[in-house]
Amino acid sequence: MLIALGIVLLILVVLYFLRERKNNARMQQVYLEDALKYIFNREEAGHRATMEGIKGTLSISNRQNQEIIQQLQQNKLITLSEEGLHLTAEGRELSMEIVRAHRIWETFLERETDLPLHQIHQFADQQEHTTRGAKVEAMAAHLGFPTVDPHGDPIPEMGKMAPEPHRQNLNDWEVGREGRIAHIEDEPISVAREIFKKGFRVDDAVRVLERSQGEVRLEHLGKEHRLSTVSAQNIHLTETSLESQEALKTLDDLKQGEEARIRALSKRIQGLSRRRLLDLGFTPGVPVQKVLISAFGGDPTVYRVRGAKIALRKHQAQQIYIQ
Amino acid sequence: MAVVNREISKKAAEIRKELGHNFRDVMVEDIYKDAEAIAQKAVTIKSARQYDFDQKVDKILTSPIFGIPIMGALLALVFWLTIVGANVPSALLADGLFWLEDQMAQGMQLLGSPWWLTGFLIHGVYKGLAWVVSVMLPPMAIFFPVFTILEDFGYLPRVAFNMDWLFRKAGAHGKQSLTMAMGFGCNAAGIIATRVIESPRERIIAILTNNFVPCNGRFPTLIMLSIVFVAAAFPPAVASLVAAGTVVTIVLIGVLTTLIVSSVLSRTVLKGEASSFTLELPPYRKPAIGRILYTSLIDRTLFVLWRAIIMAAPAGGLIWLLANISIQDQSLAMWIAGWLNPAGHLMGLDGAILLAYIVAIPANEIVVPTIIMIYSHAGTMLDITQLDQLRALLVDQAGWTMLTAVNLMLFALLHNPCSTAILTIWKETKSVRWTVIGALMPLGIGIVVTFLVAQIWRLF
Repeated sequence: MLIALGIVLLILVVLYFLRERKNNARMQQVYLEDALKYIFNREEAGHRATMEGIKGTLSISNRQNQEIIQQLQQNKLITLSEEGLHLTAEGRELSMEIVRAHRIWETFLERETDLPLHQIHQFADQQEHTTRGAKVEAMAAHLGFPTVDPHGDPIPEMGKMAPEPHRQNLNDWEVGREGRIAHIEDEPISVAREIFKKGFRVDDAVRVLERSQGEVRLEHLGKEHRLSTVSAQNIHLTETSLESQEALKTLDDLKQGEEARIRALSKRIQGLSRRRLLDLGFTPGVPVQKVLISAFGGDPTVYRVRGAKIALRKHQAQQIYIQ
Repeated sequence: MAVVNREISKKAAEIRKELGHNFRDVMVEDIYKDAEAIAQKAVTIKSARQYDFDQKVDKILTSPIFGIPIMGALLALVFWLTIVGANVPSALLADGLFWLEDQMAQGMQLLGSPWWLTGFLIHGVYKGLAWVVSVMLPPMAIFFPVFTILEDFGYLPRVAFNMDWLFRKAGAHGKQSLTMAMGFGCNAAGIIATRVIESPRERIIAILTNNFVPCNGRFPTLIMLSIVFVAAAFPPAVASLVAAGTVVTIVLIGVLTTLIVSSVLSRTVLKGEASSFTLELPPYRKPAIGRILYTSLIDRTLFVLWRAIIMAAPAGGLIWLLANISIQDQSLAMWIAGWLNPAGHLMGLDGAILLAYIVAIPANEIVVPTIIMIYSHAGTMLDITQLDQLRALLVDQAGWTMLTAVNLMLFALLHNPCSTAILTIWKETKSVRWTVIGALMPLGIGIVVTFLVAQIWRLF
């Protein structure tokens, strides 16, 4: 009896250690790639990459840090110099592959799932280490080969990355001038969450109305918003394209019985929702009539499109612009 | 050949990259343009009469005053037709099938078959099968066609439209009201019906919560308990009203549970799942009765019945074995019921009830006959139609109280789906995770709820 118990215990201990080792190997891989990404980001931003920087970003011990750097050197991914750490051509290629995986994942999560936008960065951080090559390319093809991720960062392709366009911090933007959101920083998450929750998205047009102590008041899609200076620090703007986005009317603004032609579907409806609406005939140029509003809470509402009667919920109707 | 294929894929990939990210929009627009051009040449619309008629009917069926009452009345009518209409055929079917049981048993005896073989095959396997068929077939053969008539007429999408506000708040789809209604007939059919919900998140919610609607295999238990226990405590004049009210209350508890669980699911495990809402309100049509009878009988009734038979036959055999294998002068069923008693007591039930629910996983129709079999130390499943006798057995002999009755009704509502429904969850989702959650979550809720009710009840 005791012997049997002993054997079972032994097997469990061995299994535990085997698992730990496998986990460790995987963790090691994640650390290596994260270190590489750190160096890449520093280089891209024109800063020096240092060993202390890696240690701080990855929150690891000195010993681990040394192991990681040695490993990266052995794999000929980085070189060391007086100024700090530098990527080799190989290291650069691998970094870009990781960044591509990360940003394709973010775009996928934004369009095809309902994950809150401030969480997609974290999720992509986990996925980028295990998704490579053909799978990333299949996702990219499904998304129509996007070039910019939901935060406004360029997605590298074939080892090349588009240069970051000139952009200016929201806190430095002139009062009264219209601009287009070019970038929303993904960290810290609490700030990203606030920005996304207020409805700001990359490519939206905004106008700074007033700047006061610790706060900026701005106009966005016809509505007024307030952002703290800290939040505004995480938003970058560029010159707006010629067509400015004033407050557009949507299907939701129609009164019962009124009819209008669809101008466009907002970029905010993506993935499944967008495909469904298009399939049902909500395409640009088509006349749509509001026929019936639910008596219970005023939502959903029935629209007549191409002879069919389709009910949509309010939040969807608000994303379909009319002429 | 392979080389050419690769070249073609490469070329296709290159071209695709030039298309940009909104190529789907452009494609759909083009398809619609072509379709419009063709339709303009080929289709002539005579008048707008159908549309005007639809508008008028819609105004009534979705009106704030009449919308909900009409829905309630139609639902009540469907139930009434099902319950009243199924009574006579159910009794006839039971008589016929059980008469056949005796005949076959006698026949086998004449042929010299040993008592245990006759018992297992005829009083076990066949009886389980006959029981499920006679309880299940008539209500389903009425419920599904009637429901399908409403579907064919075009009424059901209007119900989904009217009820959407409630389900929207729970993070679910208005069409879930329809799959729930289908669940009254059979949860497996209700789970299959969730295919009408095109949005993945809302569909999984509808699948996982369908079991909180009592199916027609569970209704007899609820009706029996509400008559024997709840209604018996009231004067005869209002008794039947009280019984009906009790069943409705249980159903409402089920609906409330559905909404709460839907809301929790959509905010936790299903938060990131893709979601979209569209609901088509088709033109009203005259129902095609012939096609309805065919589809509802073949697609739904026979399909569900066949699966239930496959499941019920072995269960019948198992029940007979439990009742007829004795160790130290006590049947296996009694032993197991005894072991389960402490757990049963904690839940305000007893061991026999828990055992009945375990062996009735294949088909909930046999819960009550199995309980009666265990209490009366019988060798096969039993039914007692005389209410006084039933009361005497359950109250005087088995010691049931109002708590037992209330908790049994709650447990009949909140427990694991039958094996057919579990199998259907697997077939519809192809996911071990959702199947396990779909099977165990209702059971967990049932155990917690009955436990809490029992503890609170005993405080007073």
